[in-house]
Amino acid sequence: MALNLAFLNRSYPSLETFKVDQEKINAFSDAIGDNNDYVKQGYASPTFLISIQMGAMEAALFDPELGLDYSKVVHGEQSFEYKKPVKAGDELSFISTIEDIKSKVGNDFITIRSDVKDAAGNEVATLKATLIARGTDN
Amino acid sequence: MSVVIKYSDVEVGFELPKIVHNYQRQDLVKYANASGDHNKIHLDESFAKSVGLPDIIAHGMLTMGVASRVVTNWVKDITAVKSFSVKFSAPVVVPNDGKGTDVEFGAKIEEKMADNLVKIAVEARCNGTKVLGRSLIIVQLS
Repeated sequence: MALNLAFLNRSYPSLETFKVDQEKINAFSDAIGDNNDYVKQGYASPTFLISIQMGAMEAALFDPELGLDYSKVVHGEQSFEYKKPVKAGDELSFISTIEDIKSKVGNDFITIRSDVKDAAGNEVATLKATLIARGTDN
Repeated sequence: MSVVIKYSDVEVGFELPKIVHNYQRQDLVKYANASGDHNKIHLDESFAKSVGLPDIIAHGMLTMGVASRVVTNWVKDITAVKSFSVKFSAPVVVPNDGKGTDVEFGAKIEEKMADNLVKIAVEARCNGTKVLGRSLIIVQLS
């Protein structure tokens, strides 16, 4: 099933800020086994922001108009570029943009870029996620 | 925080200490709760099989998270980490057998760049299969 190309370049600003606290940082670090000292000092593990990105994209990914069969979705690629580390007390906002949509050998690919800023407007990080909806033949 | 590892002390080809991480079903539940990713392919065996997977598979992002530790355990300082990118090349299948699935993670310095930046290639293998494709972390040493 091909994805709806009308969604290309659409942007989704976060509707509310995401408050980072020590509890969330600890839960994430614990789940990946990261017990480095920076966690105790209030800093998040490098991939922590994924917990925001996926939630922020649900409105777009679950929009029936997009045509993404979420039951067939696997994660293809992920990247993070860091401008400053995420720490407890941060209030983060983000804008997520559908950067690419394509079909290849029966699979659908969608790439989402999320630009994350803190309350002062400083750039925190840019994330890119490529999701693959596997075709029914594989 | 300050980065204690010096750029001048490392060479291309240096291998960071390896990590072996054991994935069990309850670890996936824990990761789902911490990350908010409750996709049933990671949590519900009959659902995973109904969509053509061999069994429950781990979150790719759990693997990326564990992979980050290979570098952060070495560099210690989170502010040193400038970028991290992975490709997921094969799933980590987690059967309900009480033993779980082991994944071995390693990393090697691939390039010394300008501004004390170092490019590190990260690998992850499960039963001999690469579960990460080309995956890179760039860190800034002192």
